[in-house]
Amino acid sequence: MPIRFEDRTARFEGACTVEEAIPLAEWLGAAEAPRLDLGGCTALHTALLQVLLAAGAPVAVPPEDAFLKEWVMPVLGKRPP
Amino acid sequence: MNTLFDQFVLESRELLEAAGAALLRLERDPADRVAVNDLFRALHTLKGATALFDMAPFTRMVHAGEDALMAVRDGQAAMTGDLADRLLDLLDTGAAWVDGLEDSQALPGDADARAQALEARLRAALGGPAESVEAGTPSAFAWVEEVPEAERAKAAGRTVTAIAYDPAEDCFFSGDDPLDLCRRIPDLLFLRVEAAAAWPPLAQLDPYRCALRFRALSGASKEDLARLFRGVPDQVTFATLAIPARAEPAAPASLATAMLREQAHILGLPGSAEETAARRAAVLRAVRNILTAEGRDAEQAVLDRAAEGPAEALVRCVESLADGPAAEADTPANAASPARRALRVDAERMDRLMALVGELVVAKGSLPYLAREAQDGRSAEALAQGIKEAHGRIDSIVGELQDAVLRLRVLPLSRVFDPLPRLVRDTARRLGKAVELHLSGGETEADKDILDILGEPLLHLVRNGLDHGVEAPERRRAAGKPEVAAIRVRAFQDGGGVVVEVSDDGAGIDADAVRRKAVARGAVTAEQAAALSDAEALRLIFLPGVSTSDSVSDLSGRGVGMDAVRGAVEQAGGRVEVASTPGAGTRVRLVLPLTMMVTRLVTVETAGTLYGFPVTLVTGMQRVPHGAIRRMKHAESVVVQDEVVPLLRLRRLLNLPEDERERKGEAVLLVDLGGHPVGLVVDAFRERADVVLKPMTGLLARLRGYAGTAVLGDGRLLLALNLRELL
Repeated sequence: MPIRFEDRTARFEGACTVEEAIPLAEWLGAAEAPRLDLGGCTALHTALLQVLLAAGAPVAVPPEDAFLKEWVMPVLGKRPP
Repeated sequence: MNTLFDQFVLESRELLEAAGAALLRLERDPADRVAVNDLFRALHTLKGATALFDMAPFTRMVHAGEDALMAVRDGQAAMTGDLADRLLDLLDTGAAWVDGLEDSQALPGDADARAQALEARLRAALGGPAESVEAGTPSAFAWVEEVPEAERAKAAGRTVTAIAYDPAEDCFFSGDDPLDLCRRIPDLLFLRVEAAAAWPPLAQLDPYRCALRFRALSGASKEDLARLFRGVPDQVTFATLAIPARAEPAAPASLATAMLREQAHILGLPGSAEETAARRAAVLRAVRNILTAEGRDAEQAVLDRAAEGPAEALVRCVESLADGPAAEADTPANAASPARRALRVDAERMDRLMALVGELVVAKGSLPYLAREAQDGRSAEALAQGIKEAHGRIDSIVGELQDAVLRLRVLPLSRVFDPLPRLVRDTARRLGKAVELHLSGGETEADKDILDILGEPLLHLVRNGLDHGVEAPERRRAAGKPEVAAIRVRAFQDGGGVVVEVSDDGAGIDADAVRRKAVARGAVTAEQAAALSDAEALRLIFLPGVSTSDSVSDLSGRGVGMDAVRGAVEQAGGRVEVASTPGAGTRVRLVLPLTMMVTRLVTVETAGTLYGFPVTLVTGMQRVPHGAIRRMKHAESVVVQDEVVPLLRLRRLLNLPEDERERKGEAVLLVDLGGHPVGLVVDAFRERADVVLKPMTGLLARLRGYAGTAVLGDGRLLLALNLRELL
């Protein structure tokens, strides 16, 4: 399972696919002060990205992946209105 | 200028030439795959080379050419004459820029505008929509202006492709992952992920409807990207943009500047006269070294001048040197110098030269030995023998060395043929004539100087042939000739020289028209003209002001051309021949010596002095009995091979006293002066000589009757005469 939902933290590992979008959205809606650990994430599906953006949850551990770190992290860091 | 840049200048010239040649091939045969690929490769390499330096307009222009070719290669556009015109335009602009770069290391100020204009015209020629890229940033790509400075800096000075990717809402259902697609953009310079609309509360978000859009910059070409995004062509738009280079902050003072300033400072230090003098010498040495290291040898002269003056002048001079190389305005000579062409030399020829130098070093070794022998009192006979042997060895090596050096300068004539296909194509197109150019003998070799001289006349002759020789298609049809005219340029070696022949199958030259023209221009009188044979009348076209055509076109026909051709060729020690058959065509032959460094002269003796004439001018030598010389008042003539040849006496031409000696006949040198045979009476014939002709310099340069001087093997001085000036 590429995304492991723990108590307060969602741990992204490997290539996270579109199937995770609904569970992720549900978890984010339910969890209190959710934390995101993208450390092990190597690919993030667009659907997951937009869920994260819409939720505006803070990223606790930024991704190691160069592409994600350089181009995706900056938007994730920004809190949507 | 650094070596990388030098290399770029040389290489881009070659690439532009190669591209031009390939383009002409392609135009002739649009299905020529090899030509497309050659052209494509040349442009691609050139683009890569320009990208190494800060010259975005250049890169951009070449890129546009590449785009156009891509369309041709993929069968989306046809190779039309128009498109070829524009591509040639592009290559010409490129060549002009390279020349400019070599001089000033910068593109001209209007480079960007020109690149854009060319790009637009190429696109128009392709028949494609005049796309977005022309001026500034199109509105769909306004975001490019907002790219943060850090990312912008990476793209500065480059031509990039801007990508606006607005994925369809339902794209996830067709298996797209837009972010992953963006990840695969080659040479990604910038990516911005943005929400297509304001985010709804998370609970109302449908994760399966894509609500993101992407904006990216990439260094890859539009085509590469189009391939990447081929699955979603309706959701993505591209634009090719040149990101302007940021204005560079003023370059920090170079090390050389700092060092020179320091030297100026040292000069100003107080001290005793002796100390100052020593310091001055040391500073001069240091400054010279700095200038040499900086490649500013030209400025040594300024320094030398200042060094002779008072100390303050020298300080000022060193300070001004510290401010940087002399401004360009100070050296106008630079700008005027023709494009520098590298001389490519076969490694084999270089090796031969090295081997000969080695032999020479060995041969030299025998001389100290001989000197010791002489000191030890060896017999004069044995010494003479030794010296003769040493001389023999050195002589043969020097002979070979000379030959080897000459060979270094020998190049194939194809170099001067190179511009011809383009010239013929452009001119024929403009004149609306169909012409096929046949080149042969491009592998014939001649000295570099000869090639340099040959270039212009050859262009002129071919242009002349196209303009006056070749008839309009309807006239050719009427005359029963094939519609496509042929212009042949042929080179071959003949005797001691190179012959370049330009012939056409056009209308030929009407000798009567030339006669009329020459009379009208006052070049000859009506009687003289009438007395000329047709072949002689044709030669009149070489007189200043006589043209072969009645109409003055923008190409030729102003009557300056053939005269200039003759001038250039004769200056190189050659001659021009013309033959024409009305209705069948014209043939012009340029006969040139193989090399200019060593000139072969026929030497003659007159009034105790040796004079030389280029072998190429001399057609014969004869002993003429007195009885065979006809006199008409003061004019003398002689019949040679059924032709009346005017006879001139060298003594009279040179204002020397008459030869009073008793003799049976006259020694007559037959000379061809541009088609006018002339007999020249001299005292005696001497041997032929290969000499290195030195032009007259200083005050003597004004004596136009002399072509130069040469020292013969026995130490005697030889005067080479310029007969045309003497007559």
